[in-house]
Amino acid sequence: MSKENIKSFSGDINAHGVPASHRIAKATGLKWVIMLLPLLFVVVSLIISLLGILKRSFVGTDGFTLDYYVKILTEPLYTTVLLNTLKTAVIVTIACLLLAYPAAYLSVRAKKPIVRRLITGGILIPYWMSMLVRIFAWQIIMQTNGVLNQLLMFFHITDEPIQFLYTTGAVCVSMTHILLPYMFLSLQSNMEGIDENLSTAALVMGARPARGFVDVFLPLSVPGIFADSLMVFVLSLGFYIAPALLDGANNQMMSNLIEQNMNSFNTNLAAAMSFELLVIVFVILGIAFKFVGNIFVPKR
Amino acid sequence: MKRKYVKMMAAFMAVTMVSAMACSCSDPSSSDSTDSESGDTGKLVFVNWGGTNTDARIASAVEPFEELTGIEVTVVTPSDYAKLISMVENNTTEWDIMNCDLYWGAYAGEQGYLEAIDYDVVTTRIDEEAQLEYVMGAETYTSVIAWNTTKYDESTAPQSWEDFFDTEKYPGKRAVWQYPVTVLEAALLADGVPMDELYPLDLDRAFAKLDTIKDSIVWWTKGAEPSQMLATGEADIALAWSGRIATARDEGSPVDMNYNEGIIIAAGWVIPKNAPNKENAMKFLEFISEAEQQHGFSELIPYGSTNPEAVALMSDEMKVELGQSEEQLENEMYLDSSYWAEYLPEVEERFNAWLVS
Repeated sequence: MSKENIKSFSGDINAHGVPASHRIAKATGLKWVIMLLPLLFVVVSLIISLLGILKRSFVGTDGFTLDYYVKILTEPLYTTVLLNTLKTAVIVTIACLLLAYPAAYLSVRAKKPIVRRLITGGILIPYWMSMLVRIFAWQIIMQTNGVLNQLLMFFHITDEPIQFLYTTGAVCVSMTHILLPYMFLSLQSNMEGIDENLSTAALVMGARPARGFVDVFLPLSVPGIFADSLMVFVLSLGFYIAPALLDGANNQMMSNLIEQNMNSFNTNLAAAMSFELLVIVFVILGIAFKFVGNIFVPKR
Repeated sequence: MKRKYVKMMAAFMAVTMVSAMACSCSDPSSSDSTDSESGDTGKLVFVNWGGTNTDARIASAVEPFEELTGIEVTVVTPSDYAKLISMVENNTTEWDIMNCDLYWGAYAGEQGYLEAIDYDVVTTRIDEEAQLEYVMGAETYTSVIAWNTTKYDESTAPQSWEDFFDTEKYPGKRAVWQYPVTVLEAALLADGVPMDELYPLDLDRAFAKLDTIKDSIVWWTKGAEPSQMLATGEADIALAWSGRIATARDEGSPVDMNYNEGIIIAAGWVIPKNAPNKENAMKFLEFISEAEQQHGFSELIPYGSTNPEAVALMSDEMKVELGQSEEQLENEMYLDSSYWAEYLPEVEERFNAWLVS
């Protein structure tokens, strides 16, 4: 069906020759049904159960209580783990940004399609592999007698194996690996929306390429940077499998502590911790909305 | 209007991400395609940990039971404590019988999440410590001292928990379960507390002893990890579960273990509150507890049994293999499930706080 056909179709859905699919598409109220069904699904499956979790975080065996929140906000165990979670999420976000930005820029500005395909493929192919497989691969690379340590010792950079596994570093590396494609893809689509003529104009006006980049391209890409960093940050906060397999005991993350509490009947505490994370996300989103506008809707 | 809608969707997206990743930490891949009809229906939903353990249960008990009774058994894996809790709380119980740690079952029963076991139907009698109101013992496994065989052999390996905690005699990393159960017991045994005076645990003393080796511990959380850590050199010695080490060793991994001062943990069967096929579950519990089925299970996988008659059926060689010969048992101890049923949450919290301190 060509575009013209769709365009020429205006108003009279009963006109002879209008395909049935178009009649259905024009039927009054259909778009509302299409919007409402997923919304209803979200409300039923997500909001209602979230309300259940919220209730659980406030209602203990003796009725309403703030004990759970007091506990997670004051006891060192919970504050340490929260800080560690935030720290890890920040590191992963920055690492993803630093790696994905140049790659996305190069792929968008590349003159030859092969360059673009190579970059995109290089980042996307690991993305199609199972997350678990990739985490195990990191485990094998980083273990005490692993490839990395053997290489380092072969080149006499170190004499004794370095403890890579079970550290925050190991978790950050594997999480960055997993989240990089998300950052890359959305940065790429963001940058595609930036008019190349603007950069050309800067060059024509006599700016050096670096200056043109800093003064023209970079500012235009800032909304994208914010939106994508936020997405990666939010995803990192709730990460479960990578920390479960690569973290040491003294640098646990929230999701793992929540799981432990679920299994030991501390469901109220687990609920309070889940909500704490959720509130943090909302606060960060709120700040971002306030200062940078609605970052999820790129300005056209 | 459009912007608003997108904004809303963005907010929902964020909510979905966090809650999907943080709130539902339990394994989402577990299969639970079972119809839950009320009353006895000739059906049974049997929940187990998965892997070779479940295969052994299916061959030794599930299939014979189906043949004997005509009851159709659906096997679901893995056992999931959080899921059981939420099913019971939301009155949507789909499971009829689940394998869990005995101390967990004792605690869950106290909290009202389980059906009491009907000992008129379940007439098999097993070890007294493992026959409780809400949970009945199944297989046993032991927290033992394990080592990498390229580093140590049977005579040079740690012979006691005291050795295990001795960083001068045994420098290097030791892999330890990231959980207080059996770890605190091991610490106290290492500190010279006699086996029969362990309970109630002297927590201060146990943590003080753990402090002495804290820097040379790598922690494991999944049962398969310690043998892997030993094999790859991540650790030289480990506090590990006997069955896992035996399996790894038999598959050719450079690991071995002894049962000296082994701490025996019993697994057990529980029937969740309002299980749809409760009566079938009781019948199945009786069947699977019988000596023949228990013994059949131990033949297939290196776990002991809480049924003394099943142990009696074993060859001497097998008893030694499983740490269940009389001689070995003298230097082993049973975990006190009732202690952990009472104190697990608070001790676990203290343990976690100690880990990050």
